[in-house]
Amino acid sequence: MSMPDGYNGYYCNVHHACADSGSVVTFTKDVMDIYCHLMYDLPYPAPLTSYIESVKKDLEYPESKKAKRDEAYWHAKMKEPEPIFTDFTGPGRLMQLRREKNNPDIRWCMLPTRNGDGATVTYDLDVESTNKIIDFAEKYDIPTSVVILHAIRTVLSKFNNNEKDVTIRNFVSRRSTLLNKKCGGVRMHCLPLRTIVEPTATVLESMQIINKEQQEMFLHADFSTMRYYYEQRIAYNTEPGAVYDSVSFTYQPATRKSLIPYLKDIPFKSRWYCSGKQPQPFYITAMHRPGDGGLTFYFGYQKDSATPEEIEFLYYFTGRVLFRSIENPDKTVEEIIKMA
Amino acid sequence: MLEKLKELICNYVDVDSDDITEDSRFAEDLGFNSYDFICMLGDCEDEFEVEIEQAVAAKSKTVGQLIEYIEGIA
Repeated sequence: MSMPDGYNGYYCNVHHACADSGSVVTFTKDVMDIYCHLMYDLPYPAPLTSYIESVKKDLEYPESKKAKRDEAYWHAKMKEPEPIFTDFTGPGRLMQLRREKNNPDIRWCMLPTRNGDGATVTYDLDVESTNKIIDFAEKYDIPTSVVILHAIRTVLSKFNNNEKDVTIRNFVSRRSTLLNKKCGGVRMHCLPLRTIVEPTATVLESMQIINKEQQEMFLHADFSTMRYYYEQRIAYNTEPGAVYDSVSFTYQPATRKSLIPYLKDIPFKSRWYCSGKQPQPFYITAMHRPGDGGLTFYFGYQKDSATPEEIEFLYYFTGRVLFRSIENPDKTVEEIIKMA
Repeated sequence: MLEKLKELICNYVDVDSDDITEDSRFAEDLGFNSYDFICMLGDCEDEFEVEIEQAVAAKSKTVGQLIEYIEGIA
């Protein structure tokens, strides 16, 4: 389709059961490669790898040694003391549930998800600010996702009376091998990323704690999401639908611009639009814009769970914590919270 | 061990096996991101029958350093 601003492109409406952002990136690159073949006589791109083969390997997983290691890891996690729900709006929802259940010791909560009616709020971070985050991450050899996670969990802590035990539902695209990267199919799993950070820990120490937990989580991310949350419910004796996390998060690493020289100076852009439904109560996706590489934060939310004003408030504070942190990596978490 | 590790590496990144040396850096030369690398460490556990400590192994920046680490725990 031709756009009024001079762009030519396509609009893709696809069911999330079939495709995720990684799928869309794979598809887009394929389209660009074919375009370059037709326009500039470059070699026709190699076919994508087979999603069926990728799924067949997944079917081998349950009987594998890795499955046993993953099971041991997550079962050990479920033996740890019970987590606590930290809401992006503060302690109100948990306090209300405790009153309703007449139990002041409840640590889980329910998020209102009667239907999936949802929307997306989008914030674009400028390139200069994005580069500050990336430069910081490179300087301290910390993944960019961890830098952002530190900010989000610190804000959740701040909003919940400086609670140091924070869980975020981390989405992992599970595309590491070439087979998985180039097959185009959905491979997302989500599992809890729980971190306990003392307020006296420095920013760098906080990020190292998060990094260690995330690395272990990545290593064991093939464990079934559904099985985890079912077994967690049994381990902590909670009700169906109980959660300890209010926020889901995923970071899509910067996709390098195509190395095809013909496309180097052609401006291009992409945008997500909500279909009117959201699968998660509150889901933050941080991804780099094609073109200028700046970060865009997509806040997908279900209307029963959040409002645009609450999201704006969260984004505002997340940004303050993020940049205070990278400007003052030796300050403690409690100092950063006060500064924010 | 280098040849076996090269096979594993080629499952993750689009490089020619002949271009991989012990001096190859995972991120800068071979194009690994942190997630790919962690997943490959998982494969190394199966292939070399070792239990890898992620936080320590993740400090390996080159193929040679990872081999040295794995040989040390094997």
